[in-house]
Amino acid sequence: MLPSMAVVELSRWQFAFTALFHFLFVPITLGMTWLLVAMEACYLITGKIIYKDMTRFWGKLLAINFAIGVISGITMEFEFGLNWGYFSRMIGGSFGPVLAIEGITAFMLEATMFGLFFFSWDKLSRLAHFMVTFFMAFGASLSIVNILAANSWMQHPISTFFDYQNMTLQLNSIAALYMHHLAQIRIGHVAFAGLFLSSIFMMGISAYYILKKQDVEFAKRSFAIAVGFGFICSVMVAFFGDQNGLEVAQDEPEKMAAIEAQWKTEPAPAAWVVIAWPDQQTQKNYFSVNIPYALSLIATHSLTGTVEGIQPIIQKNKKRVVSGMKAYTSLEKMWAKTATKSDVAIYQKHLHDLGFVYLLLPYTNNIARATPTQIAAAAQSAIPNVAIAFWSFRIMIGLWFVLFILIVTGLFYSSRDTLEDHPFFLKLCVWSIPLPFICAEAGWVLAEVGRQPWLIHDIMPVFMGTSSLDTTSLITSLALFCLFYGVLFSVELFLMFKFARKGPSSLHN
Amino acid sequence: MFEYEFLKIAWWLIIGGVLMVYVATAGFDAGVTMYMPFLRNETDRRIVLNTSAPTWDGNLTWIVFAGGGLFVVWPVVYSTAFSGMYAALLLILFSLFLRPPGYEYRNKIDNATWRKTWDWALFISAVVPVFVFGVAFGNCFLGYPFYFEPHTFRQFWTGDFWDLLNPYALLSGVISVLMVLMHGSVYLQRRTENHLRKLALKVHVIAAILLLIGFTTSGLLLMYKIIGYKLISMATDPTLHPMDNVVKSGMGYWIQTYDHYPWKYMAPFVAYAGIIESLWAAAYEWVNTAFWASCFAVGGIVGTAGATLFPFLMPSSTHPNQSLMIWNASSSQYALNVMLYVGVVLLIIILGYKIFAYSTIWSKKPTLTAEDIEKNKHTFY
Repeated sequence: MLPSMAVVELSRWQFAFTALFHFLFVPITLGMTWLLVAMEACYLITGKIIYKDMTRFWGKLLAINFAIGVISGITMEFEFGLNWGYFSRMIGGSFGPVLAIEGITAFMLEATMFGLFFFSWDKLSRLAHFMVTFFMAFGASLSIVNILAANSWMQHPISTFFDYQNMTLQLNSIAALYMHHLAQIRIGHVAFAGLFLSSIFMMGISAYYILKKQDVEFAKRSFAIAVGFGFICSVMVAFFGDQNGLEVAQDEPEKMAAIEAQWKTEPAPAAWVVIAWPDQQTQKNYFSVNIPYALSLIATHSLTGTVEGIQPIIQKNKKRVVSGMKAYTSLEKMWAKTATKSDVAIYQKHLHDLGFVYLLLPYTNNIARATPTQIAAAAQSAIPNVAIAFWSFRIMIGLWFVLFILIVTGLFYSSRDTLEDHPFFLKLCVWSIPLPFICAEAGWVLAEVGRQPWLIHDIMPVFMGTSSLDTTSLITSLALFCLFYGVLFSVELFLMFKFARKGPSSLHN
Repeated sequence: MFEYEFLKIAWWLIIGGVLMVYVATAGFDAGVTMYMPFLRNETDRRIVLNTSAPTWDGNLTWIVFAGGGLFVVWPVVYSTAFSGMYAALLLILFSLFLRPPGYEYRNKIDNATWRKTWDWALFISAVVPVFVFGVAFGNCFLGYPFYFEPHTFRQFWTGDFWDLLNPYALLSGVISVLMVLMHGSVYLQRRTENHLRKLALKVHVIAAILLLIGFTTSGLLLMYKIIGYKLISMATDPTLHPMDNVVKSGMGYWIQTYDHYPWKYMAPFVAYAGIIESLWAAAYEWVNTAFWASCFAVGGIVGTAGATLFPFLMPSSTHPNQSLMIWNASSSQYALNVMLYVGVVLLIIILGYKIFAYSTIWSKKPTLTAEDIEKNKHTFY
């Protein structure tokens, strides 16, 4: 017996809301800690007190951000059990270890060093304090390594087998999850995205001080460090993003097709749809603007490759649903202990399609004997929402491009020391602070919406993973999350603005 | 690879140990923040808060270790408890929300109302989670109303939040709060001087005596009033056939298991000895001894709860045969084995940098006074 679709929808909204909220704070922690390491390294080498002040001031902003990061992070760990109980039970032995290692290595180290960072300036030598800062940053980054290894397993579950006797997914090798090509690429992508975001955050606030002619020396140095970091990171984030695209085309063709709104497989060299209004019902793009050849170049780095279209993927899905039904029929016999050797053989042969049979659940309870219409509906439902995938990708890329130009300009002005002569550019920097956040959120929306309807790609649909809750509980909890997050976020922003405006003079030294 | 049985027991010990460390470290943070709204003087409040401020973040993360461990080692316990006791867990979560901003934001604005608000926030974030955790543990002895669907093993919970609030569980909640208050008071004696130390000693004595009474009462109730559970038999491979158990229930079964497993007596013995020793040492102002004794007391109390339940983790009151025990609720042998290597290595590393952190903060001067607050006006919380 599955929970109602309302429970599923509410659980999804809650996860999306809390996860996206969490990711407003993660990239700052991730990137800012390394910027602090860079500043403190300057202090360690030159001994100039201005670098120490810089480290302490930006550290203060980090602390305001970190408090809410901790809150929203603990929420995520609770939420797997609260709302996704069936999923958690099933994957505790496969996805669980990676998540646990995250808590034990990353969060523990980061949080312990975080306390020391603030309270040990006069208790430790300069080198020892630098090491504390370094390990704080290292801990924050380890977090990304583990979370992305876990999430990449959900996008493309490797090295895993299914045990029908107790309905669990188990690992063959945990190392494989970290060695996973997709995971490594995405770790790079998200880590550099965090640095990229923090660089722009720091650029924007420094630009504000230069505009205000307040602590100019301090602000110019901070700007220089931020823009230097930002340039390298903007290139790296794009490189890893591009590599990620190649992997997605291979492992999750339906996600790739949705990102590029390719309904049919176009012959190579295919044209890139720059903007369009994709319509899932009629399977057509309206108002589309195309660039010839570009899709093959972007998605396959060649003129001979192409992106598989959604319609042929649906046809393949139909076959996989039928194959999954065979596996399920045998599975029922195995549960009833009436399976013969040939039943077990059929089960083994079709096991890799077993997940597809569960896609029938919204259409019929008798999934082993579904009708062709039901099979067609299930096959169609295995395609993510094309419009969201298409547009979140374009928002991400578009904002990256705008910010890249901003960074290059900043690098130019900063290296010639003419920042003060370009107040309009400085204003742009200030106003750009929210952009990388939108960029990062769009990236996650793309990754997660693109995986729908799967919770674990090709194995478990999202609607199977929820806890057996009622809608009242979920509505209440969602409302309370909105309330608490709203209040805490307002307080956080209030303090952030207050201290950012005050500037380094708030250190009182 | 290690033997499966060995791994199951090893992980029971590790998770139990981590829980003890969590309660013994984050416990004193919670204990000291319980003082916040009741101190009259702002300097006193800041002294109390800053005795725990440098390390509280790191202490709180033990819950992530325990939670992550629970997720990997007993995924079914984690998912059933969290989704079943939905409202209770959300209550813990939402009150924990107040904690990080309570520490980080309280001193960011110099305004009496602002600070008072966060004082109460810190108080709530200390009392509520500790109390609810206690209530949840108390219910464990009574069994929870849950069962599993055949074949798919989807969990179903048939009780609601109000069922958790029965007298025995409420007593457990109170014990849990008293334990944390005692521990925080001992910590405060160790880290403060003069009138704050005296105040903490008074609270320590009262909390410890009430705790002794509550803890003993709870034991007597388990012996004479509470229906316990006993495992009669299970499948040969309980992880593959987790529901094929025979579990019986009866009056006083929990305490009867002490005769079956005599090592269980160790836990309550340590708890009593720790509480009494902490009182004795505090009377002579041996604050370090009192603190470590209190750590043992806290560990002993947590250990008593865990040991009494052994081998159960979550008995089911409606379907006792589907109860979750370390034998049938554990993850695969591979996951337990890999995580044992990872966990042991990391525990040693963690221990190393935790000792470094504590010694950095306290080795030069083991207490905080009004002068320290004045000197670090802008860096302290």
